This record gives sequence, structure tokens and C-alpha cells, in this order.
Amino acid sequence: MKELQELADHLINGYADRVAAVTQDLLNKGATPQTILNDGLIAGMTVVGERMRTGEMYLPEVLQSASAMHVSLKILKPHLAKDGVESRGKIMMGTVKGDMHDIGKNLVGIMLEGAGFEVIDLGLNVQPQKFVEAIQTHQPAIIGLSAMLTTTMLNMKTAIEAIAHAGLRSKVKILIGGAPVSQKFADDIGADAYARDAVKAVDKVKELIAA
Amino acid sequence: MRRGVPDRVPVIPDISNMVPARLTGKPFWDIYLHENPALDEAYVNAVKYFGIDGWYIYDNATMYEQPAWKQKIIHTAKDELHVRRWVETPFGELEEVMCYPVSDPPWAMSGMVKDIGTDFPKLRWYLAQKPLDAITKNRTKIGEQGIYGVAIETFMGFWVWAREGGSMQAIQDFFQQPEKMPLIRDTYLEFVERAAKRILQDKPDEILIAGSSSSLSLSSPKIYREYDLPAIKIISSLCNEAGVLCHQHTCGKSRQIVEMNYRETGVNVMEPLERPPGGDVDLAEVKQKFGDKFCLKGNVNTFETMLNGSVEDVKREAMACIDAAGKEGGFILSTGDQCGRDTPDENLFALVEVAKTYGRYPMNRSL
Repeated sequence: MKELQELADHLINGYADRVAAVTQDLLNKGATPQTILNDGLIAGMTVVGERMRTGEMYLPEVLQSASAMHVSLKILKPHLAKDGVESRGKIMMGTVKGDMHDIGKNLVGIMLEGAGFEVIDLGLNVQPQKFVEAIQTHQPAIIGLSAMLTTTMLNMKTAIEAIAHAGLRSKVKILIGGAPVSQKFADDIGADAYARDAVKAVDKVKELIAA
Repeated sequence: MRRGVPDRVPVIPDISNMVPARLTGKPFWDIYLHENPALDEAYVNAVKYFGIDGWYIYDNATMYEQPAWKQKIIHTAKDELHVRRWVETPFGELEEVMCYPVSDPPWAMSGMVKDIGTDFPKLRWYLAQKPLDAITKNRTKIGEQGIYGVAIETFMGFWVWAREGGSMQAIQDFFQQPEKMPLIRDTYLEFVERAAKRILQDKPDEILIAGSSSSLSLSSPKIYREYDLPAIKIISSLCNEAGVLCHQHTCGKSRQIVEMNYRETGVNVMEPLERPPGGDVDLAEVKQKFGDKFCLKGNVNTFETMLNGSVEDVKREAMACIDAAGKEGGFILSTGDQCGRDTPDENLFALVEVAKTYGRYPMNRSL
């Protein structure tokens, strides 16, 4: 459909008003919400992710596209629920205790939503117990832990231990990221995966979900 | 820094500011809040400890000090202090709340500009009132350990500092409230020009353009061109006229910034020229294309190599940097942005050793 490409193009350009108008127009013309989501929004955000990876798009532009996607999702949500369409998986994210850096985490969240995942963002400075309670409440498939400081990266281990202590470790996969961490650190603290940037984080999440 | 050829490659790893604070052995709030010791003193001690060739002691033109900021500790815990800082303006109080952790640098819990319409007039008044005569107060502290400079934030640095919600909100303002941003930029630009002229009367060794938040990891070339570049052109032009060095720090992705600055500004020194994964600079390429104008400072990776690598990893990468950019001077061996607090001392010593041994001029190695 020509309009689906139009929707993807407006999304890539970050035109929220046009994205909203085309979304509504497509629904009026009988397109299914799943088609709009997959062939318009996710298709558009896939291009955004690729352009970010190659350096053609920058964070402000990615945020603008993400903002446009949220406008469309707001229109689509009741229709998706009505049709029983589920997300590709529920991902919970948070920056660990003591750490106030959120750009990387937010970017990963945006890219995951753009890839069709449901994202629950616990925010900054998340205490280990809050991760535990949020797992019990939301039952995510994967948790993403973020840290930017060499001091706070150690709190990733504390969070994983708290999750294990609560008997929840086998119920969630754990992905870590942030400038000071590495695959070796992920292995050392018992995380399931490490991602070096937002694009790779999406790939890792897809792998973990498929596994 | 003036692109001469010294007896060897100078070495100045970016230890700002966690390593010097860690070496004091004190809670970080003693340094950042109580100035006991002041961060400048901690820097000088760290320079001596590692045998680094020098450091930069900066005053900051943009932030705090005057007129009459008040502060009060509003929360005390074993691992952090919360401090409210405020200034009275004719438009009401301008205030922020800072968190001072025991073993990390401070961060803003609540920024000054919560609502642009309400709070920006207060900030504008503050900038207009700031007595510029007081900026260069730390001039005498550096002694023989380095040079004295004054830092001026780029527009993005200024806005991220001032804005509630930090960098994410500061970026979103460009598309959520685009009509308000030119006035904010022009207000800052007026302040920058006035501040730079006054600072240069005191003849510092350099003006540092503090551009971490202008990184293309956070911002975009479009924002850089429209909002950061105008101030950088003014500052660098005034520096060039005064014969004072103009030095810019922009971490993360910066390759396009290096090129824009090369073509359109009078900046003399560029750092830290970070390589992937955090940055996008190929040091050899930048040296070849832009080394006739810039002194280059960088770019041993801060996390992969300095923090998590071995001494051998540090030596290998430091030698590669010298090979890439050391030829014919105009290069300072350094690291990417801010070595982490727990960067092993032996890795910093190794970096210094490479400059003092492998970095000797003349370099006759065929590369």
C-alpha cells in the first residue's frame, strides 16, 4: 500500500502530525492495526535504526521519529487490543542503583519499541528490590540493566543477585549495557548477554527471545 | 599546543576528574562541595604522582559563583548529600538541587529551568548580572604543573547544565519548543561574547570550549551548526586576535565537528578524538586531513583500554596513536573522555612511559 510507505517515510522524518493523520486514514480505509504496525511503524523504525548505525541519523532525529511513533501507537493501541495483537515480547529496563545516566538506556528502549517490543522503563537509580518487584508485577521476558560508571556497574551484580535470591532468575533473561561494561563483565556477573550499542541490543533481544 | 615539535610527544591523559578525587582518599563531596582539598589541588597532586606533563586549571565562565548564590545541605546520608543552591532574581528564585555521592562526581537532581517560560527569564537575568571580573580567580594555582585556562560551555553544554531533565529534555526542546530556542541561543551568545572579551583581558593561556554535550553521540550536525558553531566562531576569533589558544573538548562522536571546526573556526586544539565504540574518529585520517591546523590530543580508549585493558594493551594502543599522529609534532598523547575512577594506576603510568620512551623526536620510523 502506498500509504504504508508514506507512513514509514513520515515516521523516518519525524513528522508526528502527518504520522497521526496517515495512521487514522489507514484505519478508516480498513487496514488492520497489525499491518499498520508492522509495515508502517516497525518498517520505518527499522530504517531509522539502520541510518543511526551508519551515521546518517543522530539521536535528536531518532527521538523525533520515536515521538512520532508514540503518537501513532496511541491511536492504534485500542485497535490492537481489540484484535488481540500482542507485542513481540515484554522488555523491562532500568539504570542501576546510584547511576543517573539514561541516554543509552532510553535509546535502547526507543529502538526496541520500534522493533515491536513492549518496553517498561523503570527509570534511573533503580534499587535491586525494585527490579524484583517489577519482575513480579510485569513478568517481562528480558531485563536490560544499564550503567555508565565504574562504581555503579557493580550494582548490576547486586541487582542480579537480588533477582536470583527472590527465585526469579530462571524466569527472565538479563541483558547489560553501558560504556564501562564488557562481555567479560557480563559473564563474570552472570548476565545472559551484553550489547555494545542500541542497535546490537535489539539484535541481542531478538536472539534471547528466539532462544 | 601551538603545533611545534618538542623533544618528545607530551602526555596528558584525561584524568578529569574522578582519578584525582580518588587519589585524595576522601569522600568526593569533600572535594566537590567543601573544596577540602579543592579539585585544582587534587589535579596538581595527581599530575605529580603520575608524572604527567601538565594539566589545565580552569575557571568556568558560565556556572555559579556570582552574583550571590546561596546553598544549603538539605539531605545527609552515609553515601550521598543533597544540596539546594539558589539565587534571588527579580523574577523569583532560580534554583537547582545537586546530589553529591560519596565516591562519584555530583549530578543535578533538579535543574534550574523547569519551565522555559517561567524560569528562563531568571537565568537570563543571572547571565546579564554575572560580574565577569571574578572569573579568573584561580589563575595562580597551577604553578609550573601546567597551564591556566577558562572554560566556556558550548550552547548545548549551557542548556544541558541549566535544563531540568538534563540532556534528554535539552534535546527534546529543539523539536518540542522550537520557537523558543533561538532566543535562548542568542541570549547565551551575547553572554559568551561579553565573557570572552573580559577573560581575554586577563591573558589566560587558553580558553577551553567545553563541548561534551555538543557531541554527535548526543546532538546532531544540524544543531551543532545552528546553535554551537556561532559561539565557537566568536570565541575562537577573539582568542586568535588576542594570541590566546582556543582548545575544544568534544567527546563521543566528533568527526564531523572536527571538520566543521577546521573549515569554519579558529580553534587551535581538538580533543579527545574518540575512536569507536564511543566515538567515530580515525586518528591517522584526522592528522592527515586536519593536522596542518589543529594540535590533536587523544585518543587511547578510556573504557576498553585504560579501564579494562592490561598494561600491554595500553602500551600497544599508545604506540599506535603516536604512529598515527605524532609525526612532526602537533600531537599530545592522551586518552578518550575522562578515565574512570577505577582506572588502574599502572595503566596511567604505562601511558606516560610510552610517551617518554617511544615518543621521542625525531621520529624516523617508517610507518
